[in-house]
Amino acid sequence: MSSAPQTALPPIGSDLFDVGGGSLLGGRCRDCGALRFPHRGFCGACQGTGIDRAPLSRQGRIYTFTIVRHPPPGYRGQAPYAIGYVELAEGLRVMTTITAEDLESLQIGDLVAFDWLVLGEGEQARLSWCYRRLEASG
Amino acid sequence: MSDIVVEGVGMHPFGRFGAKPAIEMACEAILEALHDACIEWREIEAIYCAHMYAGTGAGQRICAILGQTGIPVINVENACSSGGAAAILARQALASGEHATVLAVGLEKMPRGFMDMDYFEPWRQHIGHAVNPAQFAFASRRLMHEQGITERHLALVAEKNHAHSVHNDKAMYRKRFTVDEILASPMIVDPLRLLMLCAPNEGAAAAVLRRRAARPGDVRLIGHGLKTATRDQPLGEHMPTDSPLRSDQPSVTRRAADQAFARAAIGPQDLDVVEMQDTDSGTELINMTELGLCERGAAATMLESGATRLGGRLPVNPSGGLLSKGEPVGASGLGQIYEVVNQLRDRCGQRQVPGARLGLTQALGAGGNCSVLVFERC
Repeated sequence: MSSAPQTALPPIGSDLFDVGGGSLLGGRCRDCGALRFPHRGFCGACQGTGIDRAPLSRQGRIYTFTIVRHPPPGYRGQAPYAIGYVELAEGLRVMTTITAEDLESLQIGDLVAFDWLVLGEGEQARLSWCYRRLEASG
Repeated sequence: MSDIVVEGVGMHPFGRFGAKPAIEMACEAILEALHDACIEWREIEAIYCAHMYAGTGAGQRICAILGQTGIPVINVENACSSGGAAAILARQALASGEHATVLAVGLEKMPRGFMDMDYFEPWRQHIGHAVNPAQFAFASRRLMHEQGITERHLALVAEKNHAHSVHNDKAMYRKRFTVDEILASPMIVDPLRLLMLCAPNEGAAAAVLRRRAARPGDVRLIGHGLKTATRDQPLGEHMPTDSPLRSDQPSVTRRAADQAFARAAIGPQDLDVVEMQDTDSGTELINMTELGLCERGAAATMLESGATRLGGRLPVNPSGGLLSKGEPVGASGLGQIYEVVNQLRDRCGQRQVPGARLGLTQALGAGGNCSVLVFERC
């Protein structure tokens, strides 16, 4: 894995990223304003079908997290790794990979910032993302 | 007035059974339930068959072995809550007048290790997000953050349920572990360690339900609730990949329990015994609150008081729970019913809750689907 920007790689899933702006891409309902990640063709609040793509905040705070000690079925990265929910200013929590120099020191409330993550190597390499811990909270 | 009477229950042990097919385990559980109910296979008018992994037409394959009587067979998949959902469908068939005697059966044979969670999109698996115990860990960490729950409390739940299991010959693990042994077991998904998590495994359980007037000593199903999570409830087993910051609406367990209690015309304070979804230690503590067994913030105190232990005021998971039995997901909900019905019939030997008259089961699965059932001995 590498955190270097390799945005030319095929993305891990479709419609997940604003590659140019370097952020996740959510979907905001044109009718009721509800925001979700990832972007889907339907609004889960009003069942509208007009959903605009909306880049999500590049910074947030850890709401909760865990460190997965063993690789689960289908996982293309290495264990241990951290995943959790990050709270974003626009009122959304998203499930995300979380990286830090020392995973063991992660805490609820830590400030994190969007970063690219590459999973797999060679032809199998895919562009994914994480939120990287910036500093430990108080 | 007619009642929904649990006429008989059966259970194939939960564990690992080599090459034995799940269908065969289901047949054994069914025969035990029929024997218990003193009825014949041909008297069953409809079958509700719960499973996740058994493939096409599991219920029909059971009939191909036990006898093709031509009755309606419906297969039910509701993740870890499949068994509860099958029992509720069986109940509806009786209550509607469509049938008088029906069977709910659950069966499963699962691979070892982390479940292959196809609930999530494939790319979530590729990036390592499709890990169901991670969801339990998320909720446990919030519990520790908000309510002062410690690792020791998480270990104490596992210690209690494993202590109960030594009296249950149908549990996968029948061994006591000390709190220190549990705290020394390998970390799997922080803060949850190996002995704080249930194992996916194999097994089957069945119940025969009948519509008739209950007689003294009969066990009746008096309340049921089945709900699905809403987007604005707290994080939990519904496994959202995103959620709003404002997530303070009642949980799916709270809503299903409220419905079941209202229908049963009792409250949580009236219960004598509970079998609940202890997928992991943290989930048992959360469920204690969400089922109304204690006030918010009081789960640790209730646990420490010994109230939920055999011999306490309200034993929780006297069977050893999923932590000891393992969780064959299609069968686990009916395994809970097997335990509670036997508790109410005073047939549980050394793990018997003396004089138990009112019991509750709760199963909770992916997608946030929860089934709660309340049983009463007449």
